[in-house]
Amino acid sequence: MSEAPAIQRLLARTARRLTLRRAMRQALRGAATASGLACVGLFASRIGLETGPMALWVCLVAAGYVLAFLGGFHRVPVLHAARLLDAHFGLGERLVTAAESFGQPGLMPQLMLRDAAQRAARVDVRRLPADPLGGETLLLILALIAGAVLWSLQPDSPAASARVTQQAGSPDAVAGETPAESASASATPPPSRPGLEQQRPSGALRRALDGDAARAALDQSLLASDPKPANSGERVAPGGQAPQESGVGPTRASSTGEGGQDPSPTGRVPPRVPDSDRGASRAAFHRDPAMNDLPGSGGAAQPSGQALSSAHAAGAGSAISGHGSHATAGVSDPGQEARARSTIRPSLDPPSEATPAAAVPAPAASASGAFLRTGVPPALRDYVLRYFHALQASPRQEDPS
Amino acid sequence: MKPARDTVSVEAELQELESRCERFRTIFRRIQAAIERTVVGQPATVEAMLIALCSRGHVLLEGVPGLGKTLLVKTLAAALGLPHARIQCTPDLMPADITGTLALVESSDGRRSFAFQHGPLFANLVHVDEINRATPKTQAALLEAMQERVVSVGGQTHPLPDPFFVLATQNPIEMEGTFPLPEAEMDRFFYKLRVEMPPTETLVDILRLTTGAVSPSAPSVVTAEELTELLALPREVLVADDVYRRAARIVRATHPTCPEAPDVVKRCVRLGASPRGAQALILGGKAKALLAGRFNVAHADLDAMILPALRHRILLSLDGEGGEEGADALAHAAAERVRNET
Repeated sequence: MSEAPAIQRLLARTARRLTLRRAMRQALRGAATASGLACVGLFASRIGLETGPMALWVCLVAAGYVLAFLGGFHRVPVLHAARLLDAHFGLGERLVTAAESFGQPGLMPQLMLRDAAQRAARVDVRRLPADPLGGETLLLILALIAGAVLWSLQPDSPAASARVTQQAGSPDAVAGETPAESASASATPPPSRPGLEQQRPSGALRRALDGDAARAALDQSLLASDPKPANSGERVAPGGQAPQESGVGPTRASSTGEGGQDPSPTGRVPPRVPDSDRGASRAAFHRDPAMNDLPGSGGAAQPSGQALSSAHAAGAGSAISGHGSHATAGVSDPGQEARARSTIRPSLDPPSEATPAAAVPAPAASASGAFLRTGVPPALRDYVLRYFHALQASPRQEDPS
Repeated sequence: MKPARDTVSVEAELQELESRCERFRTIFRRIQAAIERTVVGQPATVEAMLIALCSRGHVLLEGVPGLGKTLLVKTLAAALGLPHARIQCTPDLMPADITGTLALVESSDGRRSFAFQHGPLFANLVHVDEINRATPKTQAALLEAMQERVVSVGGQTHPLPDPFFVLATQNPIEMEGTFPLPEAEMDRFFYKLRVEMPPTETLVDILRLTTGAVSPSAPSVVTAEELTELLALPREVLVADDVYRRAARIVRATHPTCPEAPDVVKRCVRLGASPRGAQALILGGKAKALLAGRFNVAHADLDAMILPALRHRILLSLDGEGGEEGADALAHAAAERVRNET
């Protein structure tokens, strides 16, 4: 019988077309989904959400879609093609019955196959209406447009990067512009924690920070504190806020005298503390709500280095914001902290004779002791210690002045 | 050369089968035309009745008096040329009156013995008029004959002639003094056909035809051989699994407890169609497919048979009895639900 191969060829051809069509649909859906997920990711990073787990979810969903897409390449069954042809060309279920009648004994199946083949000969598969792909195409276009818009608004986009780089490289960006201004200008989301070298200031501020007087003052004020047991980072504000009781930021800022403004994104500037009254003013800082805005999340412009104009407070806050729990866990052992301090102390301990101590007045012993006993967060302390350790290990630059 | 000869042989057999199918259509249309010459304005009823006959099923005709139900049955019997009998059901009709009984007979030599006297059921075509006036006992006797095609009297089983075809009529209006058919007996009827009031033009034709000097009569238009072929061929029609599945789903959709049943069925139906309903769908679809020139059953064939096959197998609940949806609407709703799902 020549009818059966003819019907089988027709059904196979139709099944191939349907398979291809389904693959196209799957591809469109996959592309639309990927674009949508990219939009979600861009939007999340735009509003400052944590994107780490989101990236994981995006990857998982994308992987699932890849699998579904591969599943779409499964060949459409011949019976399905026969059903479609029957329904569209009004064949009265001839092809479905014929597809089930291949090889059946008896005269009636053969007669039926002949009848089906005669009808199928008039069928043009190309006239089979294609499934409309308009929905998927529209979805893809919308997702692509949304992604493009979000991407263009993204600070990490080339245009925004160029702008930020320009600001960071200018001296004004280092010394003149407060971090609050930088943050409000660029609206940079909280970055992942940069390396320690990246946090180091440059230019005039770097030189100022490298001064022996500043190092001596910090050494005196920080290393004299007794290590306190870690308290699971309870003083590290959630969401990367700076520790509320940190007095290091303002102290350092006032000691540098350059750009020592509050890096708060709100732009609020904490009151300047007279050097002579630093201990008391720290206590006041602890109660000052403005300190809650210290640069945990507010140290936004740090990746480009300009946030260091806010002195160490920004760096410390940023470090805690990015790795608050990490840092806390790192100093959970008081003995470990004491060992670290003993390692660093010989190199920092002797104050430089070249720099007069009066240039950077050390806090009064009573005030300093009171401050340190109020409990500097171990994580902050650990960070400052590590910072100075790295500072010590870095090559010195002679102050041109 | 043997394969070539085989091919020729197969080709000849195929042509013979095709000519049989063509003959089926010819005979069917011939009988239909003969009946419609006498019974005017009921083409759908006549076709459904003939389809049931081809499927070896029994038919229940329902309609108000005067619509030609009895005429239809008599005309069919005349057109088929089959021996037929008429049973007028009354409350005092006993089972022995229809099945036959043992009678004491005396032979020529004076010896007496019991002999089985055949009742009116022993005919090829039995017209049971106003079946709902018979008592349940008589209806039960009829039930055995319809289902088993045998009659048991005096411990002996007597087979009924082949073909055996029961055409029953009932009046849906006059319910006083009637015994509504039980569900089990109703289920034995292959189709339930409604004889509707004809439109005006058809009524004029009826008047013109029946009030003249000569009453029309249908001659026998089919031989026994042709009738045998008419009854045998539909069973050979092929049915795809899709079609079987659709019939099964339609029947299941008439059950209120099935999840695929539409809401109106869940609300208005007490019991849905039985598997006999699905059988009626498929068998009727086969004859319908042959009439349409196909050798396989299509969905359209099932759809055409839904009402006659399912309407008497759907038992309405109180809500259904009180509501506007009759069994026809509910059967349609079930079929529509299945159609939309596929």
